[in-house]
Formats: sequence, structure tokens, C-alpha cells
Amino acid sequence: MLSEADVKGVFLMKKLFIGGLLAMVIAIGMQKPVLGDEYGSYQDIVFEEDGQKLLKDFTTGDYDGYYGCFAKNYFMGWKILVATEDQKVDFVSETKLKVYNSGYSTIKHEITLKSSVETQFQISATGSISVNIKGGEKKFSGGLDADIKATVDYEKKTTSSEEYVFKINVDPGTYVTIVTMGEGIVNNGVAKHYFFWILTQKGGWETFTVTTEYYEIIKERLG
Amino acid sequence: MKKIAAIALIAYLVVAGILLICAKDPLTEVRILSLRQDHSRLIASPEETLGIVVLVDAEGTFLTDRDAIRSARIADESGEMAVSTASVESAGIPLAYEGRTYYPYRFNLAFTEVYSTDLSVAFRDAMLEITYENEAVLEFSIGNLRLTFDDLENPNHWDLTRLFGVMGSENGEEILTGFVIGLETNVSSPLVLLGISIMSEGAGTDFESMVSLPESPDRQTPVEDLVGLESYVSIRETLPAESGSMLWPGDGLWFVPIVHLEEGRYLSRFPIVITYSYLGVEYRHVWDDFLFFSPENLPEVSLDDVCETTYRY
Repeated sequence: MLSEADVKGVFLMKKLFIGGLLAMVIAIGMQKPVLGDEYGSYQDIVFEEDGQKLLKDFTTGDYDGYYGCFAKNYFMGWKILVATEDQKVDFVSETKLKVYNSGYSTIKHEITLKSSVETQFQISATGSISVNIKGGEKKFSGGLDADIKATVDYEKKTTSSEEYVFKINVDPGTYVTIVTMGEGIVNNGVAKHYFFWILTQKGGWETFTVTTEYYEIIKERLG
Repeated sequence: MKKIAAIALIAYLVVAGILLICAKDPLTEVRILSLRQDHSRLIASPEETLGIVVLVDAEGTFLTDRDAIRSARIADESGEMAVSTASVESAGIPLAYEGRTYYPYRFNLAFTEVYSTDLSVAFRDAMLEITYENEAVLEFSIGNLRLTFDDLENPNHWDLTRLFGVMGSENGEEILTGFVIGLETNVSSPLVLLGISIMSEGAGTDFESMVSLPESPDRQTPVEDLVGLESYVSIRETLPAESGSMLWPGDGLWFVPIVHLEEGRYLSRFPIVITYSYLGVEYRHVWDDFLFFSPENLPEVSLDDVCETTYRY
């Protein structure tokens, strides 16, 4: 037989539990959205196949449509929907290097370029999905990274990284520019996270894998 | 007392069991995979190195320890050259091949002992031979190698204003089928173009098929469209001449086709040597080895060009 004090204690415990649960849900939901991505600064990215979109071009209607594809509620964990799968893109990257000789004599300039895993495998997220840096590598947070890797072909295949040095003579009044273009693979979609049937996070995710980079050198004389 | 002895015995058995489970078999052999490729490099200073990537199925062995190396040399049937190993570094993440895990390492070779400002040496089916302090000797097959030593002190009758590669598909392989080059003269008297070489043993330019271009093409434009022929074969049994004689047509863009010898070669980086005459005197203009493209993975080579070497302890 429970006394009045015991009943009050049970109610208090219940309130504390629900309150704690709510606080946890709010805390998870308040994670910082959208982290910057390198490929977002590329001059141009064009899909080989028509009708494909980058995550940054998703409209509110796109998000609503994709979110509507999920069943009402799930018990726990991430649920992923793939909107764009292994789609080839051509891109024009940012200018890698621009050197200007403002002097009166020719200079010999040494250009160093380095291929790296960071450039070859890039990710971005929107909504309450966030991106963390672990061990110098960007990953989707909250266990989503592993789920996405299991869903789309995003395992790192790079087996070689190289530093490349190129020497060039730059005449007075001359600009030397190195630009890169390339090919890549894009996967994107949306994801939702549930915690005891409660939706805690939702947003878009995208992976961008550079498969080949092409280099071009341009020398321009001013005046 | 009995209890203590029993506990000590159990503890001993547990520790011994854990050690037995965790103990690794001692290495009895190490497998090394090397790739036969066409290397064409310009060496413009004694510090410049040539990177040779090999795949090793073990980490942390003396085979990839720079300090364990006593000497190294590159050799083929007709000659040899002493090189020094400037460094050995990890060259990326491991990959699986025939059920084994291989770790890429790059041997950065320096040419301090043979450095010159005007020298070109070529090796066909070359071997890189490395001798270690413990008397072990390893030999890797590295393919063809052409080294051009030059200080890049070029005459200034003209300048190169643009350079990029054109890619094409031949027998289902994606290969470099040529490059676009922009030329700008600095003199008023006519120049005569005498040759354009990419200093490679497995590929060369097709001098006679060079054409000037009205505008900059896309990097995927078929060679036929650029040279104005119905068909153009980029893989041949013999290489065309890289030299000839052609009056300089003035400033602008040119397309220089590349022909691959016998098979599609992985050709992503090479120097360009342009010979020409001005007022009856022959000159040479040398461009450092430009990286036309860099792929995500290791260079694509056929399985015939993957060579296995085994070192047994």
C-alpha cells in the first residue's frame, strides 16, 4: 500500500524523467546546422544526367516531398532516403593558383600542388544534421556517417596522394594562373533521426567524390 | 597456501592464454607489388625527386625504412644510374589485392650524384635496385623511364600562354590523346618550328598532324574533329616523328596529337621540349613536366604491368 508521500515521489520521478527526456531531445535538435564545404565554392558543377540536383539547390518542396516518403514514426535511429545516387558530374574548380610578376625581371616560380583525401572526399549537410571533423576527416555526426556509407558507395578508394612541384618562368607584367576542372560522383538525400518514436533530427546530406582532376595553365600579359 | 598457489596458477594460465591468442606469427615473407609505367620527368635542380610507388603487404618493415637503405640504382639492359633515396613515405590508404592488404609507399629518388643541366637519359623496362644495410637486395620493375635534366633557362623569342590536355577513349580506355598549347611570339622575324617532344619512351607527339585551332576546344573533343580527319588512330605499332619543319603560323592555340606505342599508356605528366630556329639558329625551349590530370586512385595499369617481388626472411 503506497502512502501519499510515495505517490507524490513517483509523480515527481515521472516529471523529472519526461523533463530530462525533453531536454535531451531539445539539446539534440539544437545542434549547429550546415557546415561549409569546399565543393560549394566551385565555379560550376554540371550533372551528366538531366534532372539531378545538388543539395544546395533543394527547394522546400523537394524536402517536403522526400520527408513525406518516410513512414510516420520509427522507434530509434537514422532513416535515410537517397535522392541522387552515384551521379556523375563535371566541375570547374576554383583557381588553384594565381601568380603575378610586378617586377622588372623574369622570376622562376615553383608551384606546389598536393592531392589529398580532404579534396577528394567532401560532404555537406543541411537542417539539423551536422558535420564533424574527426581525425582530420569530415564525417556526418551522430552515427549517420556509417549509415550513409552502408547505403551509398562512399568508401574511400584513394590509394595514392602526391605532392607535385612545377617550375615556371614568369615574365614581368605577367599573370600565371592554374585552374582545375574535373569529374566527380554525387550522392545526396535526406535523413531523419528518431529517439523513442520522437523525431529528433532531420535534414539533407550530400557526398561529393572527386574522381579525376584536370589541370590547365594560363599565362596572361597585362598591358 | 593451497589457495594462493591455485590463484597464481590460474592467473598464470590466463595471462599465458591471452599472450598466445594475441601473439602474431613472425613475418616470413613480404610481398611487394610494383607498377610498370612510363615515367617522363624533367629534373631542374639537384633536390628534385622522382617518386616511385610500390605496394607492400606489411607495415613497418626495414624494406620501407629510409635509414635501412645503403644504396640504390636504376638499370636496364643497356646501362645503369646511381640514385639516392631521399625519403620513403606512406602514399595513401591500404588497398586489397588478391586477398591481401597492401600499403602504398613512395620511394622518392634523388639524382644528386648525376645531376646535370643538359642531359637526357632513357631506360627501357627499367629495374629499381635497392641495397639495404643488412645486405638484402630488392629489385622492382618500374617500366620505362626518361629523365631530362635542364635548368629551364629558356630563350625568350616566344612564350607558352596556355596548356591543357585533351582526353579520349581508345579501345574502351580513357587516355590522353593530345594537348592544346598557346604560343605567343615576342619577335617580328619568322620562326620555324622544328619539333615538339614529350620525352617519353612509350608515347610521342605526331608533329605532322599538329593543327592550329580557331578557338579553345573542350577537353573531351575527339582527335578526328581537332585534326580534321575522318579517323585518327592514337595507339599504333610505331611512333610517328616528333620533328619536322613548319613555319610558325603566328600567335594562337595549337593542338598537338599524342600517339601511344602498342597500348594505351597511363600518361599524365611529362615535360615538353620545343625546338625551333630563329634567323637560322636552332634553339630549344623546355617546359617542366606539367601534370595534365590526377586520378582518384593509383595509375591504371593492366595486370600484365603489375610485378610481384617477394622478400623472404
